[in-house]
This record gives sequence, C-alpha cells and structure tokens, in this order.
Amino acid sequence: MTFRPIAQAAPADGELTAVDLDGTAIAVASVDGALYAFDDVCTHQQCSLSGGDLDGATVICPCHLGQFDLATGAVLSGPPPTPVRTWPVRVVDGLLEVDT
Amino acid sequence: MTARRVVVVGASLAGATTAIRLRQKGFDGEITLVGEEAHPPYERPALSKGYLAGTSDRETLLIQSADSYREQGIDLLLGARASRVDVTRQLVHLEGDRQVPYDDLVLATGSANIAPPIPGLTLPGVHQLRTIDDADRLAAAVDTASTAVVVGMGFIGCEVAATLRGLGLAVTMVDRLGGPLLAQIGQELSARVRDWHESHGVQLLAGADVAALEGDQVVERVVLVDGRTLPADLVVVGVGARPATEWLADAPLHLVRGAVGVDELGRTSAPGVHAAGDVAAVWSASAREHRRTEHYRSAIDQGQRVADAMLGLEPASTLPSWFWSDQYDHVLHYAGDRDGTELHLREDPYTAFFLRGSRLAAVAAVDNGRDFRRALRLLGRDVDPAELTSPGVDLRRVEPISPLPTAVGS
Repeated sequence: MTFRPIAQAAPADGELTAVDLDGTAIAVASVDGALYAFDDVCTHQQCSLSGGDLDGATVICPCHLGQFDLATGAVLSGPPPTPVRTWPVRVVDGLLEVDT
Repeated sequence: MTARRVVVVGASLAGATTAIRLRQKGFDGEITLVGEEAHPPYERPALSKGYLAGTSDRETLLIQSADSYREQGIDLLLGARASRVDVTRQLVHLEGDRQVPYDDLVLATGSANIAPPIPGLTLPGVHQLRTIDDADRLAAAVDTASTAVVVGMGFIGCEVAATLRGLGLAVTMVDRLGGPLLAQIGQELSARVRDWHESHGVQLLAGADVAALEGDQVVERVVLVDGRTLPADLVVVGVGARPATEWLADAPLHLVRGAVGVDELGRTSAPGVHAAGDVAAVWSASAREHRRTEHYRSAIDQGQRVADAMLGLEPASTLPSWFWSDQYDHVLHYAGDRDGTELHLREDPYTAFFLRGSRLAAVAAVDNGRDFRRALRLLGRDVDPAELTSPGVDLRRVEPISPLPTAVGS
C-alpha cells in the first residue's frame, strides 16, 4: 500500500470531483460518508465520469448514462463494455490520498 | 425432455441484449443468434461519429467480444439471412435452404434505410449509413473527397455532417423540411444545432428538395428542385429508416405501420414469438397506441424486457425512452413528447423543460447530462417551472407539486 497525497480536499457528501495522478484522471466520489476513487474516463466513449452524477452507490456517465458500481467499478447498466478501475482512497489531514 | 430452444433473428443491439440477458438470468436452454452481417453484434451509434472519424476502432463497437458468446453458450450464426418464418411448424427459414427450429423466437431485425426515389441514388459516391461495411466505404471515400453533400438533417445527417467537417471536407446539408433534428427536438433546440453546424462552416439548406444526383460514372453534383446545383465528391443520404419486416410478409403477425406489433412485454400476436428494438411497435397503455422507437436505449430496454418476460420474471423498471446525439464537441440529450407543450428554458447549464399544463412532458439538455438524468425522474410529474429554471437549482432536491386545477394552454 502506497498512499500518495493529492493536493485536494475530499468532495462534499453526494458530490464528485476529478483529481490528477501523474496524468491519470481519477474521479473521487463521496457518498454517505464513504469515499470512492475510480478512473475518471468512461470505458465507453471516454467521457469524464466526474461530470456525471451519483445515484446511491453508483456513478452515471454524463454522455450516454452508463452506470458503474462505485465500490467495484463494475458496469451496472448501459453501454460501457468494461468496468472502470477503482483505487483505494482516504483523507489525511483534510487532503485526499490515493493508493497507487 | 429436450432443451428449450430460443432463436433470435437479428444480431442487433436488441437481439444480442436479449440473448445475453437470458443467460444472465439463468436460462439454460439453447440460444441461437442469427445475423445477416458477418460481424459479431455491434453498436451502431459510433458509425456516424468516432468510427467514421477513425478515432475508435472496430473492437470498441462490439457489444461483447466474439469469444464471450461462446463462453456463455450463445451460438452465433452470422452471415445468415432469414428469409421467412413458419409459426405453425416453428421454423425460421434461412437463405440457402437452411432451417432453424425454435420454441421461442425473438424478432430483432432492426431497421432498413429508406431509399428515396431520387434519380442517381445508385451512382458510385452516393452513400447510406447503417452497417460497419457502409461506414468503411464512406471512410474510404472521404480520403479522396473535398466536398460533401449530406441529404437529410436527422440524426445520421447531422452527425455525419459534423464528422465529415471535422475531417476537413466542405459540407453542405440539405433537407426538404425545416432544420436539423427539427422533428425530433423542436424549433428552439434545432436552432442551436444549426448554430453548431454554421459556426463550424457547414452550409445548411433547409426547405431544399433534391431533384437528382448527377455525374459521369460517379456522383459529381446534387441538383435541387429549385435549380441550384451543389458540387459533391461524395453524397450521404440519411432520410430515415423503416422496420426491417419484409422477410415477415407471409407470417401471420399483426403489423403496425410496417412494424411488428407487440404488447408491453414484447409478445407478438403469434404464440412464442417476441419482438424487440427498431422492428417492434410496442403497445403503450398510457398513449393507447403502439409506438416504435429507433433509439439505442430502447433497444436495450426492450431486449431485456423480452428476455425477462420469456423467463416469467417481473419486468425491470426502465427510464422513459430517451436519446442522445453527439455533434462536434456537444452532447444533446432528449426525452419525452413535446406536443402541445410550453417551453421553459434554463440557459446555463442549458436545460429545456417542456410543460403541458404543469406536467413535465419532455426534457432536453445540451452538454449537461447530469441535469438531464436528474430531470428524467420528474418526467410525467407536475412541477413548478420557476423552480426548475432557477439559477443553480439542484434538480435532485426538486419535488413534484400538486397538479394545477386547470392545465394552462392545453
């Protein structure tokens, strides 16, 4: 486990944000006190998932409304052909850390 | 006892979805997916966009990898064209004198492009777009073309025009009617789509009827009824589609405006025969009529519904029928029926709410999929338009209101 600090605060509950990890865009979501991190790029047409929406423990792509499970990255509905990668994430001293 | 045999005719989005869903829900009989094209089932939306532009490859179009069908025990019978169905003997006849017996049959043959009666339609250089092979031919033609005329301003016309423009061609769009996607999205949104095209240098000629496509051996120009002539190295004709049911002409099935009429669970008038996707006209209890939709999401929803119904499962709840269109760097979303509605706009981010009285009857958004999806929840409910369009509104927090006593403007 190598958690790397990201110079960004966690999103507010029910919100999404995007962070940059050495050129890889990662989306971070906060739902009911839990944090989730996953690739920001939808596996369907490469839209940015952090521009999408949260619905319970799922994230919905803003382009074609594909749905992924926040915890596992699995496709729950819609066009995406493959899951998105997920990343362990935590908050230390108010800032995000992602496990690379 | 022999295994129950399901035959799906049409290796389309609806057909493949039905087959995959049957396995996901535990069906352990035989599944055969019959497709006319040589390709494993694929998604068509990118054919007018990323695939045509060369930014997404063929693999990315596939609904699932070809191997995954074998792993799931779904027999792909590709390059096989169904010629008729015998519902009494429960046989699908394929060209080449082959027959496939079924216990349950799913009709999912989709749409066929309408070929308008325009002289010169069969000249080399005149394209229509439905299949991967069509897109490959068009992409190859782009390499040696500098001017293109797109006939039709529907989804195919608008998206192909945007892609060809992005590839550097001079593009003119013509349509005998009023404007881009006008029938699909109405005046206000159509005007915005027109702006996208014009700001990218595409010429739009609305209300322009094509008299002929002309050229010496290959197409060279488009002649309009009013006498104007447009030079064209290639022409793309996208003037709509019809349900692909000609092979069912002899079958005792109830057809609705050429489509296979089905109930809300996808059952046709013949026992054991179901239909899903573009080929089907689905009974809507609320509208009291059969409705045919050509949209991506409807094909998936209907395919899943047919599979679930076949297995005796409760149908899953689905979102209202909606569509998207990608043009240039914009995404347009739309859902609902805006007949007889009043438009309430929020400019930033652009969201259009169409109200019939106080009822939210349709919703559209531009580059704002988040609010579009949030608004879908309110479709068919009574709402306060001032609240929907207030700056910074969080549509998740908007609650339906009590219906107004008298509907305004209806």
